[in-house]
Amino acid sequence: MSPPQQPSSTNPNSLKIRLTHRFLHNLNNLNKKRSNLDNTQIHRRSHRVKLAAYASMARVVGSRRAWSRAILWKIRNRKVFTRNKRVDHKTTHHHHLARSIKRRTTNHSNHKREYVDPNGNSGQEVKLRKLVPGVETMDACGLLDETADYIKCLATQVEVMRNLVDLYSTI
Amino acid sequence: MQESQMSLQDLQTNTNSFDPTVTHDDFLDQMLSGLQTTVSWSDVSAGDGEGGQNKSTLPWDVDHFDDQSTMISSKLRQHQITAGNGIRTPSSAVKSLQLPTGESALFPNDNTPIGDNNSIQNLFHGFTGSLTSNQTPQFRNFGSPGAAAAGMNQVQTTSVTAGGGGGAPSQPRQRVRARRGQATDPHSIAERLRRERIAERMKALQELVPNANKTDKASMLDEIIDYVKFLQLQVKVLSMSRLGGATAGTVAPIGAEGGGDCGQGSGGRVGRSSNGTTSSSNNDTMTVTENQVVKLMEEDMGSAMQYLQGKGLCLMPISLATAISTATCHPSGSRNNHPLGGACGGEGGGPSSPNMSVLTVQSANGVSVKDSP
Repeated sequence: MSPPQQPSSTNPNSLKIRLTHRFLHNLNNLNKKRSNLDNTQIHRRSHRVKLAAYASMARVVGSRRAWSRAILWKIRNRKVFTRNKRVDHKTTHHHHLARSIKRRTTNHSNHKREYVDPNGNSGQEVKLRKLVPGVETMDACGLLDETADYIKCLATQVEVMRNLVDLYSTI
Repeated sequence: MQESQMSLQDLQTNTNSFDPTVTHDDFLDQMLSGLQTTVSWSDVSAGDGEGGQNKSTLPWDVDHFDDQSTMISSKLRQHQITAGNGIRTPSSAVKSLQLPTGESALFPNDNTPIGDNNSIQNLFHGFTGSLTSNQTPQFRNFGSPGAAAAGMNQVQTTSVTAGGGGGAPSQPRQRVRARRGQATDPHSIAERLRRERIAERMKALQELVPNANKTDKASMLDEIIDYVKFLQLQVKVLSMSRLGGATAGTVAPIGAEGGGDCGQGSGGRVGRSSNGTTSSSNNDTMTVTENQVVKLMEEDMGSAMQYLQGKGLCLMPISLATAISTATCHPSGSRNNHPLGGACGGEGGGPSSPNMSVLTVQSANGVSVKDSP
């Protein structure tokens, strides 16, 4: 049952199917890769699952979208950083690294202010740019486009995960 | 209307080089014949209220013609040129024509470079270019200068109908600003296109985001932001409960509230994140678990709690456990035979479902080990 790589169809059903395949695939990799003992490091495990979720989402969408590219890039570089730095810290370290990389290429975003940027962005757009990965340098039109796609994929991913939880939740 | 007549007569008096034999009526008749024979001109302005797709057909920007001063100044301009010299005085009179609301900065000189966005300037330069290069057939009919009242009336009506905006012929001349949606300025056209695209995208987003009955763009953006945050939180919470493995390794979130997008107040659909992943847990496992927990509890309560958390279990007082197990609401999914039935939210698909938050309860006394709902 290999996941069929269907070309860029955003039909929600096919998207769901592809996401499911890819997510399960990533979860399997996750479980095989490291010694995920049933230890007390819940945070790390949950973080890995979350990463797997985002990675599967981005992988399914591919390079068509800026946000998926940004996610894939972030994850790959995060792996590089973990290998190099032997990080045993919590995930916040990863966040800092990723964010510092991103800052080099992007302009500063104001924090929780309601005024208008020098670029003419309102405070809300700035917040949106922070939430959606990869839209830092886009114009308002592309920003809304990417946000729509991101929301759609996120909602599908949440649905997939919820169905899996339901499936496995029998005790 | 009268103003135009008077000002034109001012111009007449000012400019001496006009051919006195040709009356005003003749001039305007010639102009109008030129106008009416050129279908393209009025068609362009009538059919095109939007971005100038007809720009290629004409050498100038003729999108907007209900502007009286535009017409007047354009006529003056062209006869200024056919007169063969750069007459400065009509331009000053043209300036006097300038209407108070003018966005149109009627430029004083011939030599004003084309650096401005003004539509009238575009018209002027277009006219200039066309006349000097003698390419446009429309203006060959225009002979000597002059303007008459009747002619101006007709020009007015043609321009008004050409404007396509549906204004009455008796439109006051003070209205210099472009009508909404009919700006001739290329920059404002681009701006309008951009706004339309953004509005389109916002509409598409409205369908995706629940509770999208807000018409205000700002509040819509707020909704979108909240929804994205909510979805990301859901992924995080679900990933906590989705830890794969042979044993039930879940962590119940502690009173989480979703991003507040549901429109029913706080409390998103967090409650699902519970349950273990074992599909085949039987009593043996539970016994082993219990023994393990008991052992851990003897040493350190904290480690016992952590162990339980790793398994997706929690400690709660027996009374609460019974209360929960008799709760009527059941989690969705017929596959779920969870004995507790849980305080998990009733379903719905997606974020529009009502809220439930899951609690882990710990108590020092009277504990019972229960699967977290």
